[in-house]
Amino acid sequence: MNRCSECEINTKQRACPLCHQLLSTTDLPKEERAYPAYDQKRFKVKDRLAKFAVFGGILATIICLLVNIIVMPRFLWVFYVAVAVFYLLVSLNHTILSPSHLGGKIIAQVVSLTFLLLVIDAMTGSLQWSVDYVMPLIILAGIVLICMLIIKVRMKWTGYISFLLMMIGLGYLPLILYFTGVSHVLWPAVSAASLGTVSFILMLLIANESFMTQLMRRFHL
Amino acid sequence: MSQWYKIDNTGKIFHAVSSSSNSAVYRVSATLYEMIDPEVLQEALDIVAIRFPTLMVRVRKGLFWDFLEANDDSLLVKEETDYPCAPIDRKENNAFLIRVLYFNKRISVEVFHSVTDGGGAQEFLKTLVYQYLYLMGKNIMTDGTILLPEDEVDQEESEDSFVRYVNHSEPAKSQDKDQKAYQLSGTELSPRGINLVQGIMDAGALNTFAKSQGTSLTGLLTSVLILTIYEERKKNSDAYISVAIPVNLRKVFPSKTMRNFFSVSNIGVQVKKDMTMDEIIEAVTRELIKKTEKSFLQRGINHFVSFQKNLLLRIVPVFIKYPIMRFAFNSVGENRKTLTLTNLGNVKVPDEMRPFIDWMDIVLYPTKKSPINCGAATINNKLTMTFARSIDENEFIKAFFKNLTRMTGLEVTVHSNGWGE
Repeated sequence: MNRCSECEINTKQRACPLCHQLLSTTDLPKEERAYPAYDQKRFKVKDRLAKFAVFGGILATIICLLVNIIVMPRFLWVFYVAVAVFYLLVSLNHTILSPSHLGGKIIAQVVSLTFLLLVIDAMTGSLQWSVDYVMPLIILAGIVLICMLIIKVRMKWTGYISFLLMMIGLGYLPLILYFTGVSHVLWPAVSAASLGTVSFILMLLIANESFMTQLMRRFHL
Repeated sequence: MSQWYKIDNTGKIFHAVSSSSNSAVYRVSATLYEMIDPEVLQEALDIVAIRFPTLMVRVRKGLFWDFLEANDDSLLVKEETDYPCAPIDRKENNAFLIRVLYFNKRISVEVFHSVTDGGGAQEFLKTLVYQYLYLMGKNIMTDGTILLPEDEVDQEESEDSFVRYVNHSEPAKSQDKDQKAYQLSGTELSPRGINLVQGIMDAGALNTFAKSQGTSLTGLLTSVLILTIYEERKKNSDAYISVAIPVNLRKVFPSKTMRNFFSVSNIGVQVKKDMTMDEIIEAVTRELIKKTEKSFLQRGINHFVSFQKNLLLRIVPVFIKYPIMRFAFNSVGENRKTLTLTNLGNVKVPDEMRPFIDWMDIVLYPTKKSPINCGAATINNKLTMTFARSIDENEFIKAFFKNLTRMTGLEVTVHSNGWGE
């Protein structure tokens, strides 16, 4: 046992755990250690990668803003860059690095990709191709993807129910946009809503009792 | 169809506010005298897991509230490689909200706070250690101080005891509004993580000293914490220092629940320049007695339940509700305390188990507003005081042990996990 006179404590460790003063020249045997020797470098790299991505994204946007203002002040193309940076950050931090559920990652991709394309479309002066085609088709792709995952995981299908319900809910958005006059092409909107409805009915037919139980749990107050 | 549970009253808050800087994962550990055999530990865990169905769950997304569902996968023991109380990676842990770790002679159980409180985790750990020792060939006679793996699961163990003990005829809100407390701050550790400093001391002698000062062990530790924070504070002025103490409600409101059933009492003292240690102890003891009285705790239960029953809160979808709850927690709840001290007390195990256990500890995760938290646990006359910090600065911890040893004359043996150093 070593004694640190500065901190007035005893310790088995080579250095004082409080002031880090060296108290002994011999290392504590591995089996006597209270905690493992951590690989802190791995954590540092992960920390730095996330920070670097955010810092790099903001820096790139600021540089582009300055160049935009100096070179072409009448057309703010910097918004294209900003929204693309936002999408890349979501993809890196949530889709790639986070341990979130795959269903959640699909939802995040659908929402952020739709947002990216909406902004790009809006930059051209009006919302057209994004709300008419892209948004319903991305949502449709999201529903298909989650349905495929449900078929693939079979016994663990209940893990994807919340995400499927969210996608089905989103599936009605293009139809709402059509009837409120924001979008002008009906068939993609009808396709997304129909696929959502069909998936819901199929789930009811195939897994009636289990699906109803899952619905009850997910909507409990 | 698998069993499911609504997340209990306090569990909802932890679920809503957890983030990368607030893992809401705490740890209870038992350090034995012999090296842990991972295969035997896994075997013990497989047996014990069935006895604790409310802990073997995964979280599922709901529209108005998320919920817990029985997890049929296997919970696997792992060798400890990361810092304590790290966020639980659902992929690596088969989506369980609890993990069982081993390192040298220690068995640790880390739990996401939505699942259970320190009382529940402690019961699980005790049964796990019992089963492990049994499989290692130790013959242990039980005496009713632990739940046995072969016992039937009592329905009461899965109840939300807040709902059972709510009293609608009494006021729902606490009459005492806690004031804003002095906050600790510092530079975040690099890499982000948790540094532990643990001090082991003679529990009996410390308890005797506390009694001689007219207070309890928790009262003494709280008073020394308050005095030390005051001495080490950055601004040279009076300060309202508040220590949040989780109170195990099972002791006042009999319950077998394995889910969250605790309340938090903020023990605050307006410390002034000329205040003596005796005056701090007196103020702390007075507050402790007042805030652990049944009537005070009852008001807390009523408040929690009325919060959950609020129709407006219930019908708001989680994606709106959770950010609001997180904001309220960070801007109101977290501002009312300087740090948290959780005391597991003298852990009761069968007498024949004692010779195999060296010491036990509890680690409470730090948060952004409360970057240093502490936990105390006692067994075999050894009290382990654990400081968990997410900031570089450790002067306060150093000063705490110095104050305690000078005041009591006791020897303290300290070790650290060295994270961020």
